[in-house]
Amino acid sequence: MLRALAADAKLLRCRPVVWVICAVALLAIGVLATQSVRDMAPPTEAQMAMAEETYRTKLAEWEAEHEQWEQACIDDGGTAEQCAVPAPTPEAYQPWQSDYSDASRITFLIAAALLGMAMYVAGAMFVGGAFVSGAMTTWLTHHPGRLVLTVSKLIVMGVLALGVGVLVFGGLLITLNLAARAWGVPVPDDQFATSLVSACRATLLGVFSAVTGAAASFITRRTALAIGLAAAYVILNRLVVSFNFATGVAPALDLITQGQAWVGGTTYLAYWDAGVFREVQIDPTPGGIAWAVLTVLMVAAALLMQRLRDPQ
Amino acid sequence: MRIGTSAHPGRQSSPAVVVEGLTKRYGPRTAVDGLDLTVPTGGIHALLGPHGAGKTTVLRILVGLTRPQRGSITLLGEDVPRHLPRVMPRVGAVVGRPGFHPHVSVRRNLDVLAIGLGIARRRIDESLDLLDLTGVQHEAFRTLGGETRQRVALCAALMKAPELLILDEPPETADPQRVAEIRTILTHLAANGTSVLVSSHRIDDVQGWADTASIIDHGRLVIQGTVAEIIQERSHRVTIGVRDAARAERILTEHDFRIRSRTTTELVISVPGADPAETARITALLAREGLYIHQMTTQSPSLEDTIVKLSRSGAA
Repeated sequence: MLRALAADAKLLRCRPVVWVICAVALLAIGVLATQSVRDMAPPTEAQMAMAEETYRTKLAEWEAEHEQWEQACIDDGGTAEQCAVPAPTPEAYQPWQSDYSDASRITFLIAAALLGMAMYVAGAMFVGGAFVSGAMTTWLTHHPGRLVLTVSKLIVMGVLALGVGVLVFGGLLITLNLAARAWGVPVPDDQFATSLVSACRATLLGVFSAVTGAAASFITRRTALAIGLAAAYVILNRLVVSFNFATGVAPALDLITQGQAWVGGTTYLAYWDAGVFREVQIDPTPGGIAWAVLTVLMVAAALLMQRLRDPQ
Repeated sequence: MRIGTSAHPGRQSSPAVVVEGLTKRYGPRTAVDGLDLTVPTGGIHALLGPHGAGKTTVLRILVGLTRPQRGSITLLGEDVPRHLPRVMPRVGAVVGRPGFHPHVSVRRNLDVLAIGLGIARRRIDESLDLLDLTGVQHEAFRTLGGETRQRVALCAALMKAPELLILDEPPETADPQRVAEIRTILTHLAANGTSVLVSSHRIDDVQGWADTASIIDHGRLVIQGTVAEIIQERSHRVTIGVRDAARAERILTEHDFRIRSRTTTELVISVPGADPAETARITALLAREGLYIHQMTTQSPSLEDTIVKLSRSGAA
């Protein structure tokens, strides 16, 4: 087993496609995370001046025209109370500045989604490529242990995802805290602990995604099919959830929202129910369980397929 | 049918491969049908048969890529697939299309295999050198031609310094020198005690360098023995042109030659084996009677013809 792990680790280092996927994901996370971290920055003088200018323009507009707007509304059958147009307030036009909690939540959610997708694709390509090229058959000709081979590749992908996750989320956590300190944004102790938990969960989500992607390729034996399977799930899941095709079951099967709740905290899933827009609360804990169950099921299916099906 | 024994009787201990009652079905199609096969230890053994005879399936079963429904297999004295992990480090194999990671260099592909097998880097260098692959070791596998890819696959098998080497169809190339080199390597390995099992759909491919052979058809053993003995079983067709074919036929029939057909000036004769002395005897017999051959052609029968003939004689 140790030899198989060493061989797969060496192989992973030699596969440029995996590193290109990681690099693209890191770049995208860097760009998007920079934006959400910057939202904590205090507004600049220029932004303040622009906000003041916008407020004055809106106030002048209101003073000039609010009576006409209210009259038009009353003429259409509204009551004076219903048609009252309140004056704009300076607070409504203040430049947006997010607090530490919001910034870390959004940053981790974006990073977890991007890294999760990248790790799934990397896992699928690492294993699928071996099947498509025939390297899997060559390997099995020399190393007859099919289960050892499968477990070794899954472990190596999991370790890669863990490493990349620690790098990304550790880096983001440090960046968020340094930025908060630099801009004087308060970081309550419990909020830091919450962010740390989110970072750990996001890292684990990356590991689950990588292992699931690799397992999907062991099952389908085609990279494109494994990636297509995930894409089909995302599309189908949206349809099922949005149109409430499976009332009661849909939220449990919606792994995307479940993952979102696990990393970012309690989430509300919106759906249409007989013409009415409803919301269901998704708690964080089941999300982690759902992803762990999915990963275990995929690994079990991959091991079973490897055991039962002969290589091409 | 079974004729002869190992070409290496002195080295013969237990056979390298023993297959008994091997059966593999793919749905309604039976690829291997109760096959019995023995590959002697040492020397080169050819597994012959036409396309679709079941050769590749047999080799895939031997190395554990395919699982049979029935039958027992012993590789180097170990029961497989039960003890496959124990025996495979002693077996080198190239079965099917050579498959390696296309964007990874030859050297790194071999490194990965060697790490998994616990093989020293020195063995990779030696095998690359032996197969004249040192010059392409840093090139990506996808850039290599078909024949070079086959040599890389053979290199991976030879890195293990195998006691048993299994090759599914020897590397085919338009370069006769390369063919000769690979045959020399295999002959050298066999001479040093490695048992080589090589499959082919052409008997002429293995004639002259394989010691023993088995012919299979429809997943069953047709014949097994030394290559010389199997060749002897094949009747070559000799066509001669003479002025009086009827008289030539009488003369040759009296000397136990079998005439297949005759025209006024042409005679087709069946000659067992590929013995040049037989054709020389035909020329001499006719010349003694004043009949001179003005044209002579020899045609080897195809493997399919041989199988049909042997199957008929076996049935009789």
